[in-house]
Amino acid sequence: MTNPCLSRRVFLQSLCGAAVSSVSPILSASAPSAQDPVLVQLFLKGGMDSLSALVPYEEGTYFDQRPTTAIKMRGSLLKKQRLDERFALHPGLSALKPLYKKNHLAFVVAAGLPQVQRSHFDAQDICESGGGSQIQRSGWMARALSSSPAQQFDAFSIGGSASRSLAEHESALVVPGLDHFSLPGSDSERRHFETGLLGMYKAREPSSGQTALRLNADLEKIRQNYRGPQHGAKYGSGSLKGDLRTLAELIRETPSLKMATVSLGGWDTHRAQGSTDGPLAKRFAQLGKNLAAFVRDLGPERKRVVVVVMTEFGRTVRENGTQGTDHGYGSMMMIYGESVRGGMIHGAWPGLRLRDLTDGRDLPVTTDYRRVLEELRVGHLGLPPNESPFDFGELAPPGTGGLLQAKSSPPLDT
Amino acid sequence: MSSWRSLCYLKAITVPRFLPALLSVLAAACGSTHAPAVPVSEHQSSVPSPSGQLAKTSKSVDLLTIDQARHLLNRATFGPHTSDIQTLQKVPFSAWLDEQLSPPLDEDDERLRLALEPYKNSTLSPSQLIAHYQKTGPEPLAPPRLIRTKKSTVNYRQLLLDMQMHQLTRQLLSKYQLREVMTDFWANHFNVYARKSDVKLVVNSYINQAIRPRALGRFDRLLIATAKHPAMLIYLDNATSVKEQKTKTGRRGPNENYARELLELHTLSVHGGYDQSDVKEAARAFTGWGVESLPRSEFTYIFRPQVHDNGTKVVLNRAYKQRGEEEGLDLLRALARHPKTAQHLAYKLCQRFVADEAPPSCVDDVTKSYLKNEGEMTEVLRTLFSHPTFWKDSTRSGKFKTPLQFAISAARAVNGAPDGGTNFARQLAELGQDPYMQAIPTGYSDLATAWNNSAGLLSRFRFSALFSAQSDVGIVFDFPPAIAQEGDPVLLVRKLGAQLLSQGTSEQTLSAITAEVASLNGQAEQRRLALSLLLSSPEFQQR
Repeated sequence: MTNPCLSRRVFLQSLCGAAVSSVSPILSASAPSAQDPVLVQLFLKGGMDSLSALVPYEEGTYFDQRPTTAIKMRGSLLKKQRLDERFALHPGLSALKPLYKKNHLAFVVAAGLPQVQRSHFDAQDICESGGGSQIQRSGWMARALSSSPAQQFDAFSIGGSASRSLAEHESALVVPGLDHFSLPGSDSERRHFETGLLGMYKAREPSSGQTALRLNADLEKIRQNYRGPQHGAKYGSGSLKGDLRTLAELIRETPSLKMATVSLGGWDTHRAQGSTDGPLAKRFAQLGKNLAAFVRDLGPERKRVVVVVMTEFGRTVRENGTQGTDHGYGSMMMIYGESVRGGMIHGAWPGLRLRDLTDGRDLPVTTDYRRVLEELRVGHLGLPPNESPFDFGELAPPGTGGLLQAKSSPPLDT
Repeated sequence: MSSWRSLCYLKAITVPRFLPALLSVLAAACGSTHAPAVPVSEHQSSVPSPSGQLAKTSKSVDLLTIDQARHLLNRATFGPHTSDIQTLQKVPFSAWLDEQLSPPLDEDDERLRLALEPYKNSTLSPSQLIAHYQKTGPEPLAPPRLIRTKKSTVNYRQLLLDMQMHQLTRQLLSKYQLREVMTDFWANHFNVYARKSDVKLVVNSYINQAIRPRALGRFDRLLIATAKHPAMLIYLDNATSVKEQKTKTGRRGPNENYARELLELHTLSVHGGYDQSDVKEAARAFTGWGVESLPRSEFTYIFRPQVHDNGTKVVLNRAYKQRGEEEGLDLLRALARHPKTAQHLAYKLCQRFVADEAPPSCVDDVTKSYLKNEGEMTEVLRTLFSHPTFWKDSTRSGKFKTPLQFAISAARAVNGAPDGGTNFARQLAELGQDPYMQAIPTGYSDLATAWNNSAGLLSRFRFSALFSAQSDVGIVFDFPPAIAQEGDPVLLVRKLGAQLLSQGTSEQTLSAITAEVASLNGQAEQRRLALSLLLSSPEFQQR
């Protein structure tokens, strides 16, 4: 294997192939190392019901307020799903329990926006743009990445549409999944089309055309060489399956990748959300199985990766008249990674006593979601502490600190 | 009057696809000894002769060369079709512009009407929209306890797709292209986000009733129409803005969101010389400007005097007091007259129509025209389209198309039409410019920096390949016989190239395409490849 063109790293082949021989390499030829950290943001759109995900099984209020939707944690179910003396994991998420036991998975309770925002789209856009109460022009990831020189293949939106978190990041690439990415048509049609494109754009403006063709060639090679999930990973169902499979392969093949976003919708459970079974339980199972499979699929690459799972807001403590829950406030965040201080639950738990609830109905926020992202940005990605993409106003609740193991996580001054 | 005689001479010429209304104007003018209502000759003096760019034909009519016509159509329309270029070689530029600047309120065109038919439900009233766009399925309706629960039975996704297709169809097929281009310009200038709250129920009426009828009129009327429309009132939260008061559940007060964007984006600009106090005071002037929603009303503007702050407000050193709703109207008119507003709009118009680096002389002249003509857009646009910087050789092809301009210009270049479905709108989302879905109040950018990047180009390559195969893009078209029957690949590329690109298309582009097309066998495959490469070419990304 002395010839680099025969390397396992398929992108090298495109650099050796005749079609793109005239262009300089986009990707580093070196294999990725732990020095190439990746942050994955998995956004649950619609307002995930954190009180079903992380069941506060010791609180009577929880069961009083949710006659049909509470997860009845007792006996063997509790024994199986128990995380600590306060919380137990929804049975749909049981695939994640081993990661928690290995201390690679942590939760941050009562996390969310520093100000109440009950509109999905405003709340999502504020979160993804990294704002407190206002939508910011660019995405938080775009601002975070701007502290190092722009690089091709450093940021992906997986799943067909551009993530708001990467808005205004020039090299952000939308990857609709390995099955969909390539140019359409038969192999022969595509070859003629690509050769024509190369001829037209060779040494021409806009130079973005040439870059696009290099990206296309690299991604096409990745696609063609894709051998399916690795290390015996078995994905679950739903759109997350394809998105995370794609992302695992891209992480393996693109050492330059720093940030990626994936999203999963369907959390807006206003009616008949169910409890241990039902629509919400199915959604949790999709999340749990696919995330666990993703971790397995990554194999040794998982050392480089931290995944943060978040949502725009939690849901009302009290269930509504249609066996569902309405838009609330505080929710939770979930963080996976080998460098994470896992196996524990971070953040201050405000409790569910009615007089302590926000507007008498919602779980309050004790951890500003931005504090978590900021800690991962600095501690995991190693980006400069003084170039924060977040503007913490006076209103922002403090963060948790200590989400990452000491060596990689400087104490966060709040 | 020699130019008038030559206009009358036009009557004898067969003008394909030409507008009947213009012919009637011409007929009236030719039959009358009085000066015409539209003083064409007056404007001819300002037509782009300063730098001698315009071809002077033997009849001394301001006819454009092919490349000038293509340039004008690239900027003033959503993209040229061959027949548009032919038209401009027979009809004087000034007459064409007059026609474009005075469209009838309701466009009566059979092809457009038929193409709009599949999407007509998106123009229903809010209560009819809710009734029509119900999700069908076995699920029984939830007990009607919460309005939110009731609303979740509405298929908003389909509603929004139909709304997008309604607008895209007009942009694609309207004969009054300049009005569509300006409607798009204003829809971004006065951006609303279709997904926010109930904006989805009123966004089509916002474009159709507030913006399009005023897109070529006086700016103050447009500004007031947007300020009063429920889409804007909801989007920028003025609907909930009330005077400072204590209520049972706490305090309520003015919301500054609209006032801030009004000063920063809609009128003066961020450097327009106002401060935070002006924003706060302006917000007080608009307290009580709200929306009457269902079930009481079909989302209509309402002024609520009981929650209007009657105190004195000072905005830009002028006091507004004790006039209720009139205070806000006075403020809007004052802002529309303000020289900073004139300058801000002139700058944006020159960016849109001339160059990303707006030429200062153009901005100055358009600013003056705006102030002299009290913000009358027909006059402002005449100044713009007759400005020497607009007609400079170096201006041509200097703008990078937005995804919207790219997709619609592709469809117009082949005389395509929507297939009745909503795939074309979905493609716009894939290209990165989901119509009326920009959450931030600046709207979609018109500048190359926003769109000229590798991911954007790659999505255009993909679009071009799908479009040429008429697969999943939602646009149907036929190749004209001269191209469909062309067996020689070299001639095929030349002919199709002439239909899509300017005469100055580089040899590199044409030979790269020809080489690949010639290596294919079937004629249908050759046509498909030629079209997908031409649409992907560097030249087609520019306008």
